Amino acid sequence: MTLSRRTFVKVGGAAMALPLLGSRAFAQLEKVKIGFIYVGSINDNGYNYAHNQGRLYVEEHLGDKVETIYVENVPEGPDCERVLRELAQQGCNLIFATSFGFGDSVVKVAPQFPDIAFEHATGYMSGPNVGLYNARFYEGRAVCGTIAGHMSETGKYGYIGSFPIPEVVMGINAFVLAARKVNPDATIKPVYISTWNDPAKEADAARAMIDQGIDIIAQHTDGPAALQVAAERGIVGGFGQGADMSAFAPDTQLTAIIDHWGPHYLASAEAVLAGTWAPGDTWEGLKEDVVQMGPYGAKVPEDVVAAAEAVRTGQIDGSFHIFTGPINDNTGAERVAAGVTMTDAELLSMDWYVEGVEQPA
Amino acid sequence: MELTLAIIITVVGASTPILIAALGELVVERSGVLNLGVEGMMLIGAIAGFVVQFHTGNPYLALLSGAAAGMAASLIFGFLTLSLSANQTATGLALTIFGTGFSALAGSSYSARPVTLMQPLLPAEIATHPIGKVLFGYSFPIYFAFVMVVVIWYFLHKTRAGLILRAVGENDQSAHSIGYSVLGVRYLAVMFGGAMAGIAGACFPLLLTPQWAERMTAGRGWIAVALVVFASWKPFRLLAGAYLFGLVMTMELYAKAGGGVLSVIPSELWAALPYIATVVVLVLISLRRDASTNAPACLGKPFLPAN
Amino acid sequence: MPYRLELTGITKRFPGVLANDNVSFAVKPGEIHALLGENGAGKSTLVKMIYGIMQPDAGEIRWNGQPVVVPNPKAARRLGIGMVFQHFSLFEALTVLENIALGMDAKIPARELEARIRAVMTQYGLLLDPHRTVATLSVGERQRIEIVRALLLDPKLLIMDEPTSVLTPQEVEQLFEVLRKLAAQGCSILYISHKLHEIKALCDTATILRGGKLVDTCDPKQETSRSMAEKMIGAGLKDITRAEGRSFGQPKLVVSHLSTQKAGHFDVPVDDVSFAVRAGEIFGIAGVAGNGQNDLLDALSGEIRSHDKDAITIDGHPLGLLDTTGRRKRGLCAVPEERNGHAAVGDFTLSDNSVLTARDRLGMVVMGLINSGAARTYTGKVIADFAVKALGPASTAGSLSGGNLQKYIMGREILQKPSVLVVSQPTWGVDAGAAAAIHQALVDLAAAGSAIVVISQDLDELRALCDTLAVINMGRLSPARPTKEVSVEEIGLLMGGVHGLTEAQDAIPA
Repeated sequence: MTLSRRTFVKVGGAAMALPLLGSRAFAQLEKVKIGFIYVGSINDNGYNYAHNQGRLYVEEHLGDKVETIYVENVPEGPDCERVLRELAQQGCNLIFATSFGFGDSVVKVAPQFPDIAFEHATGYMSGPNVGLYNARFYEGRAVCGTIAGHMSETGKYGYIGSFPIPEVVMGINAFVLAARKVNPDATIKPVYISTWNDPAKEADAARAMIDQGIDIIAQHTDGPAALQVAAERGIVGGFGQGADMSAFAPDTQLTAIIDHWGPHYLASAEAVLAGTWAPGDTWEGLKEDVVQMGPYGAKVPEDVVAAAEAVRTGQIDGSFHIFTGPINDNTGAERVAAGVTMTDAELLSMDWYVEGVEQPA
Repeated sequence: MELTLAIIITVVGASTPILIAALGELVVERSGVLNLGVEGMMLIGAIAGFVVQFHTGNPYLALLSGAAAGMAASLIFGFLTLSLSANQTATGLALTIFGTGFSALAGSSYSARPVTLMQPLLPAEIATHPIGKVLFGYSFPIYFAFVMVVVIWYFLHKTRAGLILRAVGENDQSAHSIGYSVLGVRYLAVMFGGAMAGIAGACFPLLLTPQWAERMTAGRGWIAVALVVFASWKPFRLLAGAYLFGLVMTMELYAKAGGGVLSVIPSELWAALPYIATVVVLVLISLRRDASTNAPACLGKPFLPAN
Repeated sequence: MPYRLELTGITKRFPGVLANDNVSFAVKPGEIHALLGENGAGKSTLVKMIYGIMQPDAGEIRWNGQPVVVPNPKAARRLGIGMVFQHFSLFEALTVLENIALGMDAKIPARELEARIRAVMTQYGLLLDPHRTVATLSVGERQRIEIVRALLLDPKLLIMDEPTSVLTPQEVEQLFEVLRKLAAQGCSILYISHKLHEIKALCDTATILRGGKLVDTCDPKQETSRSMAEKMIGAGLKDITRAEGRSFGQPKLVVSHLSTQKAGHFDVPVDDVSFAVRAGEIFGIAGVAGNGQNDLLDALSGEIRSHDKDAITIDGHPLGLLDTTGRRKRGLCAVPEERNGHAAVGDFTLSDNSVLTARDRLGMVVMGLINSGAARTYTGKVIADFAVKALGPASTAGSLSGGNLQKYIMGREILQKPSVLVVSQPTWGVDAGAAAAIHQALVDLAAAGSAIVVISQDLDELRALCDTLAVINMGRLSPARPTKEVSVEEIGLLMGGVHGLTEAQDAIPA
């Protein structure tokens, strides 16, 4: 009993101290040391590769004023905590935890290092020195979906997902919403493979879908395997994910969604140098250049490029939002009324599929 | 019909690397050595095969390099467990960790570099008809795997060298006292297993997905190790087992991707089938009370001459 | 005519031991030559050098008069030396044919090899199916494989390492027939054993080793068993000494209506057994193997628990429901027949093996922690008192020879001073000197007031050792009689039992 009461008092005390900590100002710095932790390898040609490109971007822009270190292949779990502490003890002023699953560790470690700024990608738990950042990948999906709607002959698309988390569901929905604006009968079949990185399984999943009639494929996993199968089988095309993957399938990549974290990382680093860093919750997209579109493939006709560009620029100037109603879910029930745009909070907890998505098995 | 043929082709691709790696491990285990480093040797074979294919474009040379690299990795294991009598389980796990790290290091400058897939072995004219394609449309490693099933069966049961290898795995002390070189036989077996794992690894960039990705074998080496037990150390059962695993792994994806007939069996059931099959096989084995499980009696035990 | 094999000054040294010290002897063509000695006398080391498994440090081996070096067993076989090991070099999962093929240096096609095997088997009356898997064969049949394998090479010298220790009397007789036939055809036989009556029955010459040195070469037919035994152990063989006219105390161990369930196909359960053993008494249980001895030992030790607490009592305290640990705490210790794997763990050190049975009685475990010092000290005492040939308490049990391990196990239990000791086959496979020492220790333990049960198939041993005798037959125990009052014939009748004999044979796996 006494123990639990003491624990209670401690928690209460910590809660009272929180606002005080929050008002703490960060000092100005001559040089900033930044730590990055990646969930996978920087050579994955995709997600982690893109984050590492962002790190190099900061180095390139800040020169002598920055020093960066990174740790790759950090599992989501207790190891992450240890790595975070090590980075903190090595004198990092700013630490980027670049995977969703690092969230618990960041929230646990950050209070012990109140002078260090932490930023957690794609997460939802912030704190006095923990900021959140994310990118509106779905904007890119809308561009891809538009191209698919124009170019597909069968009107059936395949989509390889890792896990059915809101991030992935959102991408599938944006893709099919955009496609159906062009071809109202278009359908998509998501296949979840329960891994971010198993190229052979991604390839076999792509084969399974192509053998059953899809002619355009998209994926939300880390590598180019599906795109290569698309090229091997000679279907209409596929898309790069996370980075430009045209090297793997020059004729088949119709365009690519490129994660361009550099500008965000640079802004945070500069804020830390100036002593103005404060925990933010940024969700940037095409407009801020955090999401970029790759070059259009040679096969994509002029008119389709124009349509895709219209969607892209519309999202930059704010005239177009893919999640503006009317939107029905895949049971036919209306989820978003005409003219209403979904809020960020709704998007970040999306767990239903729009019309045109066949319920995944 | 066409879909069935397409599925068969995918199954063959998914099964082949597992089968080749498991055949190598079967020979290793028959000699009384348990090498749990198959996954690591496959990754080393995969990067070696990828690099050679990238620079030369000669897939046969790539397979050979995969074999050589896998064999080199197996020699590390052999030296530690055979010459120094280190614990085989721990050393095998270490080899997998080493292989994962080493292949990542060696492959770090090869990201974003595709290679070309290995071409079918026979001229395309033979494989124009769909049935012809299913039978004759594959590249060399697929046929190699089938041939090796027969070769290994013949070797183990019909040749004197195979008999000696089984004897060494069955009772190393007796084999030694008769005058056979236990360590020599085991070194050769371990090297063969390494070469086969290396070839299996090289199949990933050459057959399945023409790129290099870290950990691209994604646990299939472990499936190969498990299959050897599943097949109770018999080559033809191994063939059946590898194709059964390939089939269910593939069918899970086809069931997810398709509607209609394929979704009659839910993908969850396909995903669970390997485990169900394993349990059924183990029960069947233990029901046959007259025969043993066929496990080599000296499996995993270091050999120290009694005198 | 030169000697078939002649050894001169053979010396072999191991760390800490001089295994063979300047040994010289010779074997004539067609001679059956016994190599005799206690456990650890250096017999095995000597033949391993002849067979090329080891190399001598000094000395010369002559083969048909020519000096030779035998670098490995293959070379030995090429010379015409064959060997049948005590522990068979067989592969259980392989067939008879495959096993024999493995022992052949020449590559012979399977079909031709099978024909030759059948020819040899017919010639010497060794019956075997070449396609049977070894795992399904009896011990005697396995030995036949080894012999056939050796004979296929048409050997000029056949080394037999303790060949009869695992055979039934009938199998021993068959083996002797084969060996005599071989010798008649000019093959020399080097026969290693410590069973003196066998040597007297079979051998032409005997070379006796003790402590690595050659003691004597003699004609066993001219010697008595006792004289050879004394040469082997190097001292007059001591008779068991016991105080005359001892009186026994109160009944200590009382077994009443003890029964067990039939557990497996070959299991013979104990059926309503009752007997009492008094303090100071040695109670012998005779019987042909496979008549319930194993179940009786397990039921007494606690491996099989009774459903009735009063089925077994010590000094009136009921033990029937207790397990082995509980019974050991109450003073009942037991030694099962199978020493390696049942009485001792081969891969454990002797110290650890001591902890396994003596932990409670001698306080080797305190609050769950092993007092390894106490275990070492106790094991050292066992080794010293029972003259166990081991490097020390840290040697593994599996590294000891059979007889030495038996001495250790007996010592481990006897020095715990149990109030009741149950032993099965206390001197099985143990040489004469060690057997005498074990017998004396049992007598001394009884003299100190313990009650002892000895289960054995060796009637001579039981008659020399026991005060009281009973016979077990098909799980039933005959009434106990004072040893002095029963004749061998009576015991034999009880063991055979008109109905019992046939049933007993059915119960023993063929």
